Amino acid sequence: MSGNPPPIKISLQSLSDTKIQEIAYDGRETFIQPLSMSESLTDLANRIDFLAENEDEETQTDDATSTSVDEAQYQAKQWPWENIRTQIQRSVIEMNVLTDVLSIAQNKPTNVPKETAESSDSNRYMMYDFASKEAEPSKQSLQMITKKRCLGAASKILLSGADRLNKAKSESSFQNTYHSELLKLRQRWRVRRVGEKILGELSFRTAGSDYWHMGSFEVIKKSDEDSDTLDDYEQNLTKLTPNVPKSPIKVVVSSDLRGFSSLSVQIMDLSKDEAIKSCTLSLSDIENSAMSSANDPLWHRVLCNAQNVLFCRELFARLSKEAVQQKTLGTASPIVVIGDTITTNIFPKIQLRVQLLFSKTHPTKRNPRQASIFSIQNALMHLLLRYFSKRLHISPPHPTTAALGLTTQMRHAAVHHNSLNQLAATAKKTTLSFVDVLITMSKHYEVRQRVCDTIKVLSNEFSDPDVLAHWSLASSKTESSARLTIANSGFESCYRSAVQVIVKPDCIKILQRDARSLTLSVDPTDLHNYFVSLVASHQLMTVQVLSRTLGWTMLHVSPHSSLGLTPDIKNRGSVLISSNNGAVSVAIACNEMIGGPIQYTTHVQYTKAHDRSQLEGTMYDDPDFSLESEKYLPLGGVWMKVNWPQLHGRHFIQKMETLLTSLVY
Amino acid sequence: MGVTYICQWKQPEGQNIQQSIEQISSCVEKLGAKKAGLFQVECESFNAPNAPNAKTLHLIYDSEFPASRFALFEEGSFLVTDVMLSAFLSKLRAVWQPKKGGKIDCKGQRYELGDFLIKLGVVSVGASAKGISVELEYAPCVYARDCWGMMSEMLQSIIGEQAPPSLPSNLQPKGTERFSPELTMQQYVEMFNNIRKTVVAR
Repeated sequence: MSGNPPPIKISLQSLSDTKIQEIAYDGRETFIQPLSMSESLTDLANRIDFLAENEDEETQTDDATSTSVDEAQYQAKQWPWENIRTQIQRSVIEMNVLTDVLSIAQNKPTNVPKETAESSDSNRYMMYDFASKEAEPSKQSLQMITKKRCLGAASKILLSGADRLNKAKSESSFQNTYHSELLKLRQRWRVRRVGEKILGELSFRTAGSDYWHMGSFEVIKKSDEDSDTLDDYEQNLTKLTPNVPKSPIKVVVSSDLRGFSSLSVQIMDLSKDEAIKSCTLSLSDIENSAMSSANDPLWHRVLCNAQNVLFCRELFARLSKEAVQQKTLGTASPIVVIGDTITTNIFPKIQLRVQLLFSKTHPTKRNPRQASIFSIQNALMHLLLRYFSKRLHISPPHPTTAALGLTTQMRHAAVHHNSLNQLAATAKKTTLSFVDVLITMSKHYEVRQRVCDTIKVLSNEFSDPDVLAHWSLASSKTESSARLTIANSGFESCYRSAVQVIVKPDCIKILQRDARSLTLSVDPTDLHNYFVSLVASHQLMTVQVLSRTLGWTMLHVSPHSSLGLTPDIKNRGSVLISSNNGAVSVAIACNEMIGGPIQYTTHVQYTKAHDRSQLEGTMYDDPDFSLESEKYLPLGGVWMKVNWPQLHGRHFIQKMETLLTSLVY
Repeated sequence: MGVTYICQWKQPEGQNIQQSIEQISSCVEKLGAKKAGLFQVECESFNAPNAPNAKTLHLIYDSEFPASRFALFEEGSFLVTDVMLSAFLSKLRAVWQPKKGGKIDCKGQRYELGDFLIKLGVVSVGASAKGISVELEYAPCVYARDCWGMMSEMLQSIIGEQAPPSLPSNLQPKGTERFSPELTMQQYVEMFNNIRKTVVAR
């Protein structure tokens, strides 16, 4: 019924002897003088632990079973055996309660629930009563108060932090002066002081460029009057993002760098006079994402734009210089450079056009679909950077007396007895031709497009065998490959043809399953013809495999059989099969029509004993197919033509399966 | 740079060098080989008169290796250097002196036939032609033993009966199996020496 008894404190008092402090070597004892009355009082007062007393009180009130016990305890503080007395008193109370319970239980032995032990007897009943009820609510209010205080303290810390942040922000806006702005400019651009002027440079010279333009600019402090006025060019610059922060600095670049420039690469179809693909290249496109943000000050935008103009001009200058030097590079027509345009025909009627665009006004937003020749854009950029780095990083001569500017490979060429071919290969590797790369890549792009289109046309044209093309992810700027799979739906496990198409800038290479490789020209009709013959041979092969699985015998196969006088057929493949007992023969011809789909003709021959009731109506006599001449006598019997639309099945192979199975059974 | 075999074409009686060259080149062209420029091999010999036991030093320039110069001692040591070697040797004139009549060269037409490289050259000392050399190189292979079959077939169709019946010992290097330009140069030196000897004998 009660918790652990509180620890009993026993007070001890010292005897009234004086304490010995120390005993000297000669036996003399030094005593500590006994405390005086007032001193002993302060000493006792020091020993009292007022806090502990309170705690004792609290625990005791919690554990008290009755108010009488409480009162007894309050009085009991006066002498040390009080606790023991309380314990004894408690146990006496408990004993009393127990005897009461026992007596009630003895008189009423029936099962009475403890909580509501009301006896049916007149006066006796038993119930619980809580000794103290005020403890709970007082605790809750205490918790609330402490919580309130904690929250108050936390909010104070937050408020003071916010105050400090506000203060810092307002301070930084105060510091937006000319000098801090100049410091910012120096962090991004190269600036130096010449006399009283501050001059800067934005060319790519430090990166390795050798373009003639110096790209210098001047930094001017704005006076108060002209701080708000912007000229047309600057207004154009701020058109897209109007909330440009004002700055006390103005930069002056030379007038030819004030504008918007980009390099456009277009592949034009001259027969339709429209651009197949085009892309524009400018440095700002690439920088936009990485370096600049909407909060850049005006001077930074002016300088970035000027640098972009410089970049585009340099790239174009390199391209045009090479284009003039090398007249043809495997192109259909010589390279022509007129003004700001370089044109050449990469294939007949397909023109590559590189143009340097420059305007004072902001260019209109481009069609996003047009910016898709990303590889060309990237490659040109990469080439220019490589050229820069080559100019900057000349490998040191080794030994020190050797000629400067040779690569290690070139230096070792003599001692490693490099042959003529090896030397030519190294020389080729070290030269970078921008025009060459551009033309090769655009050619490859065009050829790949043609292959894509042809495959698309093919898969639309032939619904019968499914043509699937998987373009390989592992492709380079000048070579990509696709795997073409042809299969009949439902008969994929029966037979499937697969070819690898490798697209190169000047030709299309095809690797077949039988390890033969073909090289086709870039003319799309060539590729189309090849694909049609591939589909036809696939059908014939599937028929062969199918007939073999159905137990038919192969008599004759010819991928290219004679055509006779049929001008509208390009090629005819034929198969002759006969049933296992030789009763039925089937001749299948697969005709590739000029400018049309593949046509199938099938003839069936029976012996007289064969039951043909099942296929009634699907065959008829072919008047064109007469075998009256004597030389056809060994073929024997009459050939009936199969009426394909009448046969059950979704496609050619399925119909063929129906025919072959129904002929045998 | 593959396996190379060099031999001297022994012209039949009653044929001068011009006729023989025409005969072989027409034979090579009939095989389908295409002309691919000219070639030149020069060999200059030096000796050291002051040193009693010194061997002869041959300095060879081959247009197939335009950046290199080959120095070959009679005893077998071999050196590949860059073009400055001849200038260096002229500085050492006190030790190494050019032999009299030691300059011998071989010039002619170069043919390509698939992987084969055929060179027909006229060997001349000074202005006078002394003989005809035939060089056959098979580019894709560096192991003489592996490609000798193909090479001997090709040789038989070019020079007929003069082709060696089995793999010549000088195509087989001592230490390693790999063929190197060193062996080509050795063959040239051997051939030049043979031609010199026959000329002296006449």
